[in-house]
Amino acid sequence: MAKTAEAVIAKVQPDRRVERRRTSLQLTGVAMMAPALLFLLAFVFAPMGYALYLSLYQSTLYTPQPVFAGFANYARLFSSPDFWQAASNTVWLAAGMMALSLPAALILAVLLNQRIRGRAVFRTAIFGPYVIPLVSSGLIFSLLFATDGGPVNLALQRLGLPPVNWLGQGRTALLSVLILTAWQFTGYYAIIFLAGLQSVPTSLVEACQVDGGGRCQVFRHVTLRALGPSLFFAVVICLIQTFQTFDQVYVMTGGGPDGATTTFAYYIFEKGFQAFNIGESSAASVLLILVLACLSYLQMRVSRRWVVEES
Amino acid sequence: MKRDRLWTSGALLALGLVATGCGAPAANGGGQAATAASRAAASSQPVTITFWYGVGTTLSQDIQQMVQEFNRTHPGIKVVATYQGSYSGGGEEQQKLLAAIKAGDPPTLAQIEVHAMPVFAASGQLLDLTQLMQSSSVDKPSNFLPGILVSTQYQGRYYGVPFNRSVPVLYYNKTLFAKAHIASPPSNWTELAADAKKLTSGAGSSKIYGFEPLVDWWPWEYAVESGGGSILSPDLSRATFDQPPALSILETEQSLVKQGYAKVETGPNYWDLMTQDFINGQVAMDIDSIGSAGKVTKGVGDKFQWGTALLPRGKTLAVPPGGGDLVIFKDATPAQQKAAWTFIQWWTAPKQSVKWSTETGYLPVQKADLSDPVYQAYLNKHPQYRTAIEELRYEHPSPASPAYLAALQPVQQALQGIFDEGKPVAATMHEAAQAADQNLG
Repeated sequence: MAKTAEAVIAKVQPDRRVERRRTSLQLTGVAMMAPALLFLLAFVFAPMGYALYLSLYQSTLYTPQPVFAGFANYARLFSSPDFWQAASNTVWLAAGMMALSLPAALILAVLLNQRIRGRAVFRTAIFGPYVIPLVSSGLIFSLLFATDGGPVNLALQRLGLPPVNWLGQGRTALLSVLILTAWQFTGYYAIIFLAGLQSVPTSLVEACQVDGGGRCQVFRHVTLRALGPSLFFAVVICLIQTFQTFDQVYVMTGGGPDGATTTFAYYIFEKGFQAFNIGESSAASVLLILVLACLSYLQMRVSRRWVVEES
Repeated sequence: MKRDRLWTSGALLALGLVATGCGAPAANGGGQAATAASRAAASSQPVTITFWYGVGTTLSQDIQQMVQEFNRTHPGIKVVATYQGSYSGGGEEQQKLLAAIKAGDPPTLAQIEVHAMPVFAASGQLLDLTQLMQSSSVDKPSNFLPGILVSTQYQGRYYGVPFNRSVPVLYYNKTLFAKAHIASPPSNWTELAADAKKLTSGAGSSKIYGFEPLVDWWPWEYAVESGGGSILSPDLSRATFDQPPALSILETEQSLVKQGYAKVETGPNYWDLMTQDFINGQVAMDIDSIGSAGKVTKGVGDKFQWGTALLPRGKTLAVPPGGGDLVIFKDATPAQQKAAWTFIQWWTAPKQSVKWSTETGYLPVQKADLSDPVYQAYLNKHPQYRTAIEELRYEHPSPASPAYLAALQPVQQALQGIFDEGKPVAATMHEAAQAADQNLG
């Protein structure tokens, strides 16, 4: 967007003074970003580079001198069923979030976009879970899902259903993690959609209504289209957040039972800090960085296109 | 206006530099100055040593009190003890030690879980204590209870001194046993299976189960070795725990679960939940750490009579070590190492060792502890601990491979598969052995 603005200015006044002003503008920009950039360099990019380096070495706590191993760490990951289980758990979670959290967020956003009483209260309330630290909500949900005397099972018993060992069985444990994650993030996505809904042009809505479009048609042909960029943004952010799932698993299940809730990020932690295999853990980190970088790139590309289209 | 902006950007840039890059050398300078100062003062000031441990709540308070007592009686030494999160396999204390070693700044002393000893010893960061122990009047190897030193050696050298040690034992509910007309606790797995059937009664939420296995690799070590199997090959390069003898006890336990004679607790709090089931009288027998005896005593109160027994035999009886040992890091200055050794000898001397054992329920570590009148009185009052001391005779070292902790990860997963999800024992353990082989190779 900055580029477009500059281009416009340049076209209007191709003048030396403007050019000088531009350099000083850029300098200010660089200076403003410097603290953040230096911070990122020291705490994000440098460790990333170091992880890439370590991923090529056989490195454990008990081999003080790392030995160059080429892509052996990667090869071991790809041949390890546990790694694939962690990857598939993560994809399952991401798919679950797409199917559960995003539609729920959209519905909430549309509802909260109506003129209803106490709208501000509701909007605040649905955003509430997002600001709670994941560790706290993880603890809360562990209690909710407790086999003996957990409120969820008590409710089931009231309905005459047998209690479920939520966190102790593979399928329900991952489902429990998904439910917590959806609860935690749906409000956030709803706010993204709500912001998108504000930008739906009323003229188009009215035009559609004049053409005889009902509520559903207005939603399908106008609202949903205008929401495109927000939808895409939410999908990508949701993917990125799900791929980083760690805290919930750490608190609720410890990756168990039988690796059923071990996510990509948790796998990295287990390999590195519980099995002390720094090399393999770094290799897994590099793979995660690659996946996330692709997602981020996709998000940037597409959102840029949309922004241009809009202007 | 232009100037203003330039000036502002310059200032911002400078601020940025101060806040990030340039901050580091300044801080380092400060640190060096501080160590230099402390070194200069070392001659007159007490030697400060840091001690990281990983047992929380009341145990942490017990440690802090003992440390205070040490500092009071040893004016030349100041021990700063810090709780660093759990010391158990993969716990926070281990993670912090790993980070501290990598950063070149480990504590002087640390509590190391017995199975993690090979990892830390192989890292080359631990002080070899062999010489010190052999010439010590307190911590001479022959002064310790037989069996208790199995976890403190790595490749023939001593790297640790027993600190808070425990063993798994069989807990049984005497009241339920009497009701089922069973005179004594089972001594082998055939008896245990038969007793478990007799002890199971009721249905639904009031059902009482005969037995409860602990879904954890610690008692699994016992199950493998006592069944006549072995965990790793003698050269420690290959997992052998998928061989038939290694599976026999697991098979019995799983069939008890499948037939409804044994209960299983799952989820992240499985251990606490199992102890609680025994306290609630929901299970007649379980295999739990002797370290839980204090909790059980308190929890059961007068509700029923209970006792402990030797773990039931398979083909043999092999008891894995449990708990933690104390180590000294090489990085410490000679003065700190000397101070740390003084502290360890003080802690393991019968007077303190007995105090620590009777306060916490951990095992006494020295032969002299057993004849101590205070400990004798304690044993008479709490006969449950006799079993644990007797079991020390059957103590069997865990594989001394630095990759062992990594190899245990697939085992823990497999146990969850077997007990939580009812997967077949042989196939599941075979898969785990293959995964473990990868970690060992």
